[in-house]
Formats: sequence, structure tokens, C-alpha cells
Amino acid sequence: MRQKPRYVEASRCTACGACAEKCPTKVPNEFNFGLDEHKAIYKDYAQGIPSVYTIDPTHCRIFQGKKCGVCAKTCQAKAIDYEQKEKFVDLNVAAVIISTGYELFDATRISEYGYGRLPNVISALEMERLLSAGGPTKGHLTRPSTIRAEARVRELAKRIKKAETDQDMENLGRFQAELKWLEAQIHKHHTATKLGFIQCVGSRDFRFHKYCSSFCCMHSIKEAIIAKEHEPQTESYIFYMDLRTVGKGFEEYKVRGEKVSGLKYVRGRVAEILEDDEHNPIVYYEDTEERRVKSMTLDMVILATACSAPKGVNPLAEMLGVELDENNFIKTHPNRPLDTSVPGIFSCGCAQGPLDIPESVAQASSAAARAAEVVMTGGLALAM
Amino acid sequence: MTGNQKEEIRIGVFICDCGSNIAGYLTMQELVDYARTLPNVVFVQENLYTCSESGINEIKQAIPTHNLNRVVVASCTPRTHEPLFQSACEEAALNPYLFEMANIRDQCSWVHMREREKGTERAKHQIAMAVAKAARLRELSRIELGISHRAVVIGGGISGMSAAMALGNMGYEVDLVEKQEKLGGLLNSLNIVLPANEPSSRLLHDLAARISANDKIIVHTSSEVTKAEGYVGNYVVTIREKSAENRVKAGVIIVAIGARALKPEGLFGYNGKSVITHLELEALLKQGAPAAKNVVIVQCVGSRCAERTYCSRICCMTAVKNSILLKEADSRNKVTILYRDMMMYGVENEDMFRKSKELGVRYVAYDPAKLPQVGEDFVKVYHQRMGKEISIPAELVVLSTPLVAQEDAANVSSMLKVPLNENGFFLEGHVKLKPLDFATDGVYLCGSARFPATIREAVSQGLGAASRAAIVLSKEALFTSGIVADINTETCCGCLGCVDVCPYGAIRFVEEKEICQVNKVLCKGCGGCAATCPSESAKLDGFSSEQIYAQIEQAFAS
Amino acid sequence: MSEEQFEPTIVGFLCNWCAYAGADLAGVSRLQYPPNLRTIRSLCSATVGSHQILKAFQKGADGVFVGG
Repeated sequence: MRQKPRYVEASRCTACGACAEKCPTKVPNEFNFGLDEHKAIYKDYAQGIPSVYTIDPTHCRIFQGKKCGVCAKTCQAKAIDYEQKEKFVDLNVAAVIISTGYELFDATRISEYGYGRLPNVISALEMERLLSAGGPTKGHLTRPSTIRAEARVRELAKRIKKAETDQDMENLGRFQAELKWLEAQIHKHHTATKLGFIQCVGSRDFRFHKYCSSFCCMHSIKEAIIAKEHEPQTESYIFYMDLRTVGKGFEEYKVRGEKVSGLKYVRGRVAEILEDDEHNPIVYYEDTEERRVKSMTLDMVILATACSAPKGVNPLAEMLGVELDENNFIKTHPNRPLDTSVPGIFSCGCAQGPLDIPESVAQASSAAARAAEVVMTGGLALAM
Repeated sequence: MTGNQKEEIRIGVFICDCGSNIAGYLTMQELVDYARTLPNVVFVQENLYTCSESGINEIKQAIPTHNLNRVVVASCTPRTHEPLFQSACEEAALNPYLFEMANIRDQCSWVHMREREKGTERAKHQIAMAVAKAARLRELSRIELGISHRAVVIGGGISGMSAAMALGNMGYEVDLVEKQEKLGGLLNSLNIVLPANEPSSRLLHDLAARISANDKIIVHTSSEVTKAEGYVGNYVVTIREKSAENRVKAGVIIVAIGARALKPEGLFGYNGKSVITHLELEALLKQGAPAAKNVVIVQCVGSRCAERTYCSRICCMTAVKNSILLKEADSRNKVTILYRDMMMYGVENEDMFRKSKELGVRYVAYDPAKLPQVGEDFVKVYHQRMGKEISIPAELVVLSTPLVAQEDAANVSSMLKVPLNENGFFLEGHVKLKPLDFATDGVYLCGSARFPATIREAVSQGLGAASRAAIVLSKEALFTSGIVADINTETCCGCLGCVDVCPYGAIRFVEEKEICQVNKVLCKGCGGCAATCPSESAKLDGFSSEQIYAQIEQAFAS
Repeated sequence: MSEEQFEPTIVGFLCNWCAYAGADLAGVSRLQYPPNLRTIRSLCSATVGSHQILKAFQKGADGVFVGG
């Protein structure tokens, strides 16, 4: 087992955060999909476990050969260790559980949806961050185009100051004009209140994944309901093929979304997304219930991106000798849902295919049971 | 009023700087000086980090040196650090329940970073409140309980069998109780199971053979659990086998009673002959394909409607599976599925869905407001995509009916004091994070008794419930929490208010004395009883009204 | 009256599992709020009885916050 260095001694760090407060280096926050910034010594989010800070060596000044060491000076618990090396640990075990989960489908592969190109077309996980009280907007549904504009406004303010001191009149005028225009834009299009959710992005699609990702119908409905709770005038449209509300209480939740939160379920696949000159996405779709091709202008579009096998799974599978299915999910025995092709190696959760939370949790316990059978009988249970 | 002889209360207060996290925003010296003035406080110490090794050592040394019998730490939050400080007390031979924390970081210095004076003022109050509570704390103990290392599994279907098998393989004794004369439950009525694509009998016989070969598992067929008394680790379960009654001691109970398929009496012309259910179709398919050339399958019969609001999860895949079998029997057979949403979630289902389309199965979406009409040898349906009503010839109509709760679910629920939801399925401890547990310790849940499940899901949940149960079975002993409710026998009038609110079934009414009594093993210390009790007879140790009143008082002390 | 601004004292009964954790999270996130709150940890908001709320008002609370 290889453990990467975090350059912070876990047993000493009290997660007080004084280091991050003083750290001079700002880094785009990957956890929030770059929608805000954190420092080069950071914790993904407040409740993260273990509650220990980590230095990002690709940005930390010390690792770039520059002078700094502010965090080491600030830390009164003396937890900073720039010399920490990666560790290798040998474990002797009777059973292995593969629970490597999944990766989001890369929606830029569907170029007609414009993800990555149109600022207000985001993934459902980005939407989660926007809706989160601990997220980049503290739960406010600020449009990503506005978030970017606000960052530009801050930058312009700095540049204007500099131009003023440098007496650079040419640039000053230019910056001021841009600032004025941006401020008007931000004011006009700040909060997203007309939302479109597009289902099966990369799933049930012969070009990408043929399978259904199982959990996206529910998270889109959930996000739409929460958006409405945050901003009562929010209107949400969910574009779907089948709404697969197969879990306990799911169908009831879907009905509640329509009746109480006013969600509109539109049966039809979206063909293309364009935008107008105010970054409003325009969705072109077929409404199969009305049998017409239509378009709709929205404030923001949320893509229910598919559950893909993680890229790193191939070398892992090769090392362990376990078989993968055609989608690169861990292959399991049809009647023994936790057993891989290798006795003693088990798999649970989305590593073996898309699963929702309760099923994943149940499977985790099941995999533990299978492993316990092996461990507690000294391997005899493998025969069963 | 406890009748204890009065001991002198000697409180030690440890105030943490948390590096600069507290000391940077509050005036520590003021806090230290203030703490010294508080009643019963005999020792005050400021630490750079109270949670560091040296800080912990200072607590451990101060307790004997200053003869402390209460300890207060003013620092971060008890949610992360209380256990650490409690064990420091315990190591210094002080009962860990004589410890209290004041939260002056997370709920003070960090939220009042620009208001040193007022923040310090709030911290003083929080410390005074903790000290006042500490003075009223009393010793509590954790009771040690023995365990029966044995499980009772109620229900011998696929999930119950899987649970029993896993526990047997781990080396625990299991009583597997099945109502019918043989194991297997619904699996007995099925034809081909997926994704293995093999007769259900093969899976069933294989598992049954392994169960009977395992000497740890005792199978009771034609049997029923009639009574269960006790609590986690120590149940006495009465099993009625034919006419004999047997009492077994068990540490855990697994509920795996499954579900049954709804018989759609009065729906869509159901008659058991030309209009049948999938279970009836599977029985026909076991004998070879039915003669019908035109088959129409109707989804959501008796589900996703006002009467039964839920989606039964497995009917779509059952319909698709059977449509494939009909097509494979004779490719000239016309099979049409009338549906609302095809719930073919996941990898295998979607594959199967596609395969059925390749074989020529026709899918027509219908609107629940315009239900299909089943006629003599046709089905009329409003075709949403075409925008008009069409008539489909049908010699055989198959109705996809949901799984519904077992008739005896309510009995099992009241016997084990575990709840059901509005549809009669058992209600798990937490829908997302504890799908196989109940709020009550020692009772676990799996399979379609929880919610309709596929075979793979039922197997997985059976193993999972076994895993949850093994957490208890693998222990030598259980310890109760010290923070539990207590009911004053003198003042309790037996109104039963507390019995009604207790979510854990931990309070019982003692008829002879007409009072209510707390089972300290089952009690989780939520305090619902204490809040409900009109005479303040029920109280929560460690959070009693007396202690909280003392805190309230100090919130305003100047 | 005029020179001293009214400063209410609010007693907060916070459920250990949610609201108390939320108050901790406010700290971890450095969200600033006025220092007029005095928090009391309870194991469940259901344990907060009317007696306790009335006691707080009796002792001089200007507001009681029950979070659970």
C-alpha cells in the first residue's frame, strides 16, 4: 500500500486552520470545481475526514523553490513537515474489498451540449456545490457566468488602481468601460431561477454508455426541489426519457416534486444547447407528449452526467487479476453479488456498476460479511 | 435530593488557547481570572493545547494533586473532544461522567473574531454554565451485559437464507425460521432468474444444500416466531414448530419475511385465465410457452396510484424478462408492453431492455389518466406518441402487479417493536445510511420485507444484515451508555406519555406498580421521555432539568 | 437608555446531532454572528421541555432558540 505525503503530520494537526488563513498562495478549489479558491494548504471541506490539512505541492511556494514557510511558522502544533515522503506499507490480508467507486462522465464529449464552452451549462455535481451551504456561493444559486464576472470585476478593480497610480490613461478608460458593462450584467443576471435538468447525459446513449446510471433521475429531482426551497420563484424543467423512481419513497418524492414544488417533467431528449448573448442557454428538444420540436431559454442547465468506471481501475484490476465487464466495472458473480472472479476478492458500490446510496451502503455491509466469512474461517468459506 | 451524603465539590477548569484559535480572539487572562471566582472552582489552568499530550497529562496530574472531583475543559467542541478528555479523567480514576465542556472555540472565538470584548464575555458565560452544570453532575456507570452468540432469522426466502448462510459461515449458531413447509419463499414460484439466466430451482437447491450442510444452521420449516422478549444480545425467542413451542436465546434477530405479489382482483379484467399475473405466467412458462400469439403486458397495475403510491421496483424487469422468453419461444409471437416509465435501471436491466427491443417487443407508453381498457381479445390504449387510441389484439393479458407487504408484517412489527411505513414495509433506521438496521439495536432487516428487491439485491441485503448482526455477535459483552433516562418511581403516576414517545421501545409500563420503567440497555438517551413527562419524573442522566436550569441561570449571571 | 443600546440575550438549546453540529460548523466556516447567544447542548431537541424554555424566559432571556 502506498500512502502519498500530505506534508502535514496527521497525529499533530488539530485542523485549526490557522495555516490556511496565513498561507499566501491561492489555488482554484478543485472540490468546488474551480468556482472558488482555497489556499495551497487546505482541507476539501469543513467536515472532511480525517480532519487534517494537506499541502498541495504543485502550488505551495516551498515546493516551487521559493521562500515561504509561513504555515510552519504559524502552526503552533508543529505539524508541518515539508520533508514528508510517501510511505509504503505491506499488509498481510485474507480478503480484499474493491470499493473504488465511479467517476463522472466527461460531458465535454457531447459537444452539442456545450459543457465546458457555455458557462451556464454545468454538471449535477457542480450544482450540488452551488446548492451547498458550505459551497462557493453558500447555497445561493449564482450563475457561473456571474461568478466569473465577479472575479473579473475584482481583477479590474485592482488593474484600475494600478492604472491610476501609473497614470496609464489608455488602459484606465478601457478597464472602466468594461467594469461598467460587467456590473450591469451581473446585476441583471445574478441568480438562476429558470433551470433545465437534462437526464441521461452519457447514459443510455450508444455513443458512450449503453447502461442507465440509476441514480440521476433522483438527484435531478432533488436538486430542483432544493433550488425551489432556496429561491421560491425558481422554475425547473426536467428533460427525461423514463423517470426511474425505483427506490423506497422515490416515486412519492417525484410526485411531491411536481405537486408541491411545481417541477415540470418533460418527456423528451434534448438535441442541442446554444446560448444567447447574455449567456442564457437555449435548449432544443422534442416534446414527445406534444409531438413537437421545441426550444426553451433558461438561466442555467444542469447535466445529469453518467456514472463512469474510474480511469484508474484497469491497472488495479490487472494487479489483482479480477475481470472487468465491457463497461470497465468490476465483474461479479450473477448470484453472489459481491464475489469477483478471484476468490477472496470482493467488490461493492459503484465499482461494480451504478448504485444509489442505500444500495451502496447495504452492499458495503454485505462485502464486509463476505470478507468476514473468509477471515473468520481461515479461508474455508471461500469454498461456499 | 439523591440522598447521597454531601461531598465537597472541587472543580478543576482547564482553558485551552488552541494555539491562537482561541487566544487570538479572546482575552485569556480574563477568562482565567473569572473562572477562579466561580463557585466550587478550586483550580484553573490555561493550556496551549489542552488536547495535546502535555495538556492531557496536566489534567491527569491535577486531579489527584488538587483532589478534583469534577473537571471542566473550555476549548473546542464536545462532539470531537469529549471522549478524549473523559478518558483522561478515567485514567486519573475520576468517573468520566463527572466531566463537562464549555465550547469557546467553534461556538465563540471563531464566530466572534472581530468582537474580542463581547466574545470574551460570551466565553465567560459559557464557562460559568459548564461549571454550574459540572457541580450538579453525578457518577454514572456503563452496565456490562453478556451476549447470546446466536441469531434468529425470521423468513427463509432468498434474503433470509443468505443471511443465515453468512452467519453460519462466520461460525455463529443460527435458527432459520420459515412459515412454509420448504425454504425459498417467492423463489419457489419463479421460472428463470436473471442475470444468471437459469432456473430459479438451481439457485434455490444450491443454497438450500449448503444451508443443510452447515451444522451451525438449524432450519425450522412450517414454523413461526410467536414471541420475542428481551433486548440486544439477550433475546428469548419462542418458535412454534408444528405444534411444539421452543424457546431459544438469541443475541440478534433478522427480519426477512419478504413480500407477496398483489392479486389484482377487479383490475383490468383479471380472471386468472386470459388475464393473469406474472407469477401465473411464470408457472405457465415453466410448463412451456403459453399458446397465445398476441400477448399484452400492462405495467403499474395497482402501483404508482392513489391506493399504492410506490413503484415496486422489479415489475418492469420481470415484464421484459418474460417478454423475451415469449419471443424466444416463438419469434412470431407479438408482445406489447404498455408502460408509464420503463424502470430498467443499471447495466443488466438496460441490456435486457435493449435485447427485448431487438427481438421485436413493442413498447407503448400510456397515460395514467387514460388507463388501457382490456376487452375480450384486445386491449385498447391511448397511444401518447401517436396521439390517438389504438386497439391491440390480445389472447393473453399479463398484469404487472407490485409486491405488497406480507399479511403478518404488522404482527412481526408489534412483536419486535420495530416500525412499518405507510405501505406496510418495515422502516429502516435511516433510509440512506442505515438501510439494514432498525432504530432498535439488535434487530436487522433485509430483502423485500424492507422494499421490493431483485434476487441480487435480496442476496446482498441478506449478507449485509448478517454483517450488521455480526457486529453485535462478535463482541464478548455489550456496554450500555451512561447517559440514559431514569424515571423516579416515587413521583411517576403511570400516565404512559413516555411509553408513547420512546422511539426505541425502551420504556415499559409496570402494571403491578402502575409506573413506567426504563430499560437502560435499550435507552439511547434521547430524552424524549424527559421532555414529555408532566411531573418531571423522567429525567435524562447528564442532561437533567436541574443541571439545565443551573446552566440557564448562569447564562444571565453578570 | 439612549447611550446604551439594547443587547438581547438569547438562550439556544441545540440538538447535539444537528443544530449543535451546525453551530460548530458555523465556527469552522468562520461565519460571524452577534455574540448574544448562550448555547446549551441537549441530546435531542425533543428533550427541551416547556419547563426549560419558560425557565429561560423567567431568568431573563429575550429570546429562546431551539434548534433540532
